[in-house]
Amino acid sequence: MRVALGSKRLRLGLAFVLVLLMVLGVRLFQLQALDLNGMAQAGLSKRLTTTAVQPVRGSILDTNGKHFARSVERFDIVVDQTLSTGDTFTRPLADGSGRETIPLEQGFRELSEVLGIDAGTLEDSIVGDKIFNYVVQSVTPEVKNKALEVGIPGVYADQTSVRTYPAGQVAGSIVGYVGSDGEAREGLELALSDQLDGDPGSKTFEIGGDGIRIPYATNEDVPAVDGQSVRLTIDQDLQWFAQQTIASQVEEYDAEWGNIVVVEAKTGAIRAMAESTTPDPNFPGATSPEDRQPRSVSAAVEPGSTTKLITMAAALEEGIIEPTSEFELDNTYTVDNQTFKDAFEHGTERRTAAGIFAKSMNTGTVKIGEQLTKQERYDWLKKFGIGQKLNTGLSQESSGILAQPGDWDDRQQYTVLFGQGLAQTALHTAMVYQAVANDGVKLEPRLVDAYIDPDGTEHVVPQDEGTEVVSEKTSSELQKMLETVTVDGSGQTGALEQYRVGSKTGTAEAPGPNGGYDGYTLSYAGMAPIEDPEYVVVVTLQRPKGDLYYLVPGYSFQKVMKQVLNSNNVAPSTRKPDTYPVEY
Amino acid sequence: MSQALIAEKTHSYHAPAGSRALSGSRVLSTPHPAGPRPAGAPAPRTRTPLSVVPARPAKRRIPFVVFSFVALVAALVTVLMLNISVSGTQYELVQLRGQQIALSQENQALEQKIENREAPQNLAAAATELGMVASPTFGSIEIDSLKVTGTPEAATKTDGPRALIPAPHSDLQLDAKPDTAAQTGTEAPGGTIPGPEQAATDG
Repeated sequence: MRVALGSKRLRLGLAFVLVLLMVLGVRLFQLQALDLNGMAQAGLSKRLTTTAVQPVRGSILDTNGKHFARSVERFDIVVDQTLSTGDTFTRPLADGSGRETIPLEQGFRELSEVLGIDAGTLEDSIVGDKIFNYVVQSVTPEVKNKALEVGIPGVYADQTSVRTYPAGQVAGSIVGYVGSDGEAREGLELALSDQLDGDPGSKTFEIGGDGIRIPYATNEDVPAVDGQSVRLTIDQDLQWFAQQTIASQVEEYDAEWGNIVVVEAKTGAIRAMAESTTPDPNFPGATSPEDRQPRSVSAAVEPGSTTKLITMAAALEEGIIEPTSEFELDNTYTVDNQTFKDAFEHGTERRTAAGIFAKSMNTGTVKIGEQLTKQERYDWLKKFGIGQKLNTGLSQESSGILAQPGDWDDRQQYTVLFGQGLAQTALHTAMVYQAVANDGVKLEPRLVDAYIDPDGTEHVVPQDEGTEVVSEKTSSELQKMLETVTVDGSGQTGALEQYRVGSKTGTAEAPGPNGGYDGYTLSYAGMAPIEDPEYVVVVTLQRPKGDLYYLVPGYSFQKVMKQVLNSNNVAPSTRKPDTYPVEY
Repeated sequence: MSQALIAEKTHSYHAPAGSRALSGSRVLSTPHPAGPRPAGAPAPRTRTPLSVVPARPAKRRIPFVVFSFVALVAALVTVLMLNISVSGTQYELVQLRGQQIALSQENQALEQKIENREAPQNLAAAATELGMVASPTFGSIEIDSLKVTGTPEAATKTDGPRALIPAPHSDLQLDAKPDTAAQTGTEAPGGTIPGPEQAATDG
């Protein structure tokens, strides 16, 4: 064990080894600690991979949780053409026992069968010298798997996300759509992007030569935060029913367009907002831009006689009339050199205020309304939301037009009493009737019911407290007057067998594109069951063709109101209708 | 593993200061009586003389080296095995992740098919095809009072309303009849998505 360290050769050897060791040590230090050439860094960055993790966009659901919109995984089939050379290629056999050699021609034929693209087009897109080229975009995972099984070298798949709309045209105008570039374009998709989008995350890790992640190495994981889902107040089935109903009536009357709005009286929830034409958000390009609009909130038209409800509400509330106040009326009525005429010919009639409303007489309405000052008329229209924002969240929303009373001309100051000279959307009308249906308390329309976190936590959008527009007494008088319209007046077409209905018809002249009026806007607004109104339905038909006598929006009202009451288990009315006398 | 032991060090102030240097030898000392001796106690004992005791021969030196070596090798082997197993699991992880993706894709495709069939216009079309018609009237029974209202009539066969809302456009193969779809569904425990039966629907 004891070795003489003094041996000269040994000392020399030891010194030599030590020198070598030192050289190695210095080099090691240089390479590892100093990293002068950035090699370690280069190596690391070669292994280090960062991938963005895209958040999943939230879904849009109906009130029962059925999907209007959802994001699904799709694949782009792409090719690195520099790898797809040669006349043949090999691929593993189906049973895994080795590989088979396939001519490229056969590969194209097989791929053509899978993708439904003819072989010639495929050849053009796959053969060449580009490093990246699309073969086909956004195919289902199923098709992708089959395409990759063909095994043409250089052909691979890139994952993308595609927005699908399982209900298609049902509520298509409300839901809107996301463009092929992933950007929201219209409707709620655009309006609620902040909630739906979510935040992207990222993953950073080191990857080995075989493409497998190296354990224990750098690993940073910033998870993506998925977007919130949005539950609407819309009932998908009812929405379909209403769309089908209005589309059929618009087609029958050859109208320009039509819509039906269904609002829950006690919550302001919009249960359906149906347009005669809606886009299929899966394919928005197939519908013209104007027909893609949710006209129920975007198309402001002169409402016509449905506005007489506001005039009556104001006159009752200001103490100008009682429902049974008596008026003697000729076929025309002149005030301030402005002559107003009723829609039907009649001699001198003795009518109650309720009777004027029931027969929708312009003469009587002006006679009542002229007792309100111009400012009062304006204030009452404003109180009922005319010319005001709807706040549904839809970007295409229109506030309607209500000019300042000072700007009203000599005729307009009276026409606003029966719904001409001002403009509003169908939803505005529905919310006017909602206020009367809900004991005089006007609510904000509700379109979004709740936001739902990815983990399922629901954030219900609180219901509007509402503002009292008219007293409970006035609203119950107005309800009785509305029922009188259905029983003894112009609203008979919308009557239901088992429910008592309160309603009002409207016929407005529609302003033409070159000034003046051409055609009509027909509407029917109503609520049921009138003893305790649950739902308000408003039907609007723009420029139907034919004799006004045969154009009856009441039929659509009848169908949709029956459907909504029936499907929501509203008990049939038990008592007889309660009406005011229309004449004295 | 000190082989030297200094007994009762606190009391051994008699021991020479250099006793600590006597590593490898045992130093013995008697405790020094502390304080006045109580009456009736035995006479003070005479101090045992200090003496150098030879240390135990370093018998365990070689076994210890062996032990360290074995421990080192064992630790290395353990780490190596652990590493191999983690790397191996990494491959398994990739495979399982692939399986998970395939399953969730399949699940998504199936859900989409359900939603597509659930779309009201598709449901209505399917009902019409089965010869179902909407009833024009209805009656109701109030549970509390057992009162029957309405005079429902039997629905008569009509052609049904013309479908004005076309089926949603979908890139999934949906044309398979529901019954055949159910069949393929049950036949595919391994989880392959039923193949296309016909061309895709186009909106």
